[in-house]
Amino acid sequence: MAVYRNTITRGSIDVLASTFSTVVTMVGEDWFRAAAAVYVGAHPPTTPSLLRYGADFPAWLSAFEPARDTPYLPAIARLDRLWWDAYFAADADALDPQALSVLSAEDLENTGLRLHPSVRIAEFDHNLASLWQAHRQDAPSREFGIAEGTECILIARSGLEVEGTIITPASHAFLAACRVGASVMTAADRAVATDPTASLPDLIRPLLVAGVFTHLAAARPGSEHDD
Amino acid sequence: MSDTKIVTASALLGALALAASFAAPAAAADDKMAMMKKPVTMEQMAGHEKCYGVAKAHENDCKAGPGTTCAGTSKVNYQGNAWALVKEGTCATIKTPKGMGSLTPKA
Repeated sequence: MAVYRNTITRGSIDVLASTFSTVVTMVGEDWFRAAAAVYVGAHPPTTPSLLRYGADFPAWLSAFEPARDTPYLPAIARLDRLWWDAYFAADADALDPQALSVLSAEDLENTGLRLHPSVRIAEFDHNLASLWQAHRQDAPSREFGIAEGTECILIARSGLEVEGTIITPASHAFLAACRVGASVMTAADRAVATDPTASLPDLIRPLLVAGVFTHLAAARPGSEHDD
Repeated sequence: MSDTKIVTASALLGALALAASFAAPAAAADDKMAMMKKPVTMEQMAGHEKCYGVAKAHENDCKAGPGTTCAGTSKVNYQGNAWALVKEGTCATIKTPKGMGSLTPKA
């Protein structure tokens, strides 16, 4: 029996190492596998499919004493998780941009832009989203400085390709409004309220190009107000 | 704030039409190159397969020799002194402005 238990433990660690590959890049294989073994011991998988295993690993990492000298790791783990969520999300066709040019003034108030199922948006302290991006590709040889401030990121899949893009706070506000079913007008208002200098065409165009929207639908009641 | 409309309907209609016209396929190509699309790497594809690799992995990895249990466990077994392990990845090249304790990443 021990043999099988070991196989499961090892398999679970393998899944975590695959899912949180950027964390592995940062801390090294040995450290990661040792930490993952502690996690697996405390949170063994509960379903035969390990596809979604490790959902609370980022939160667990933030309370993991030996990770305290690298406090950016939970955010990096969370970003890795978002990448996989986007990767495994359902498929959907992108909105034809021309659909936007036939909207009436009235439509703006009662119609919303629906997001592709793979779309994930998040805001992080410091430049941790850039830190994650820099390590997704080849590990940067240069030093990476942690900067003050906050950063927003959009992670979405187009075809089989998942891409992370740093977006402006105004874009984040626009997409966050769309996510809860707000009208196009409300989403635009949120964006401009976040950054009065934001240019709406410049904000919306790359989102259309990236296939972030799927269709127009009736705005959801109650989505017009901040939570 | 949400009740105060700061964007007018006509301005937004204009913005949408402008965004839509430049998002047409021809104009889109440049944007696409600029901000999107990175091919899935071999590493990511390998990671994908690994998600299904558990049932397949009935190799027990019992190569550690007599007196030891299987490899999966031997990893676990040295977790007691694991924290003597130095992080060997790229952490060393990441510099924080006021020391590590100054970071408060959102969980």
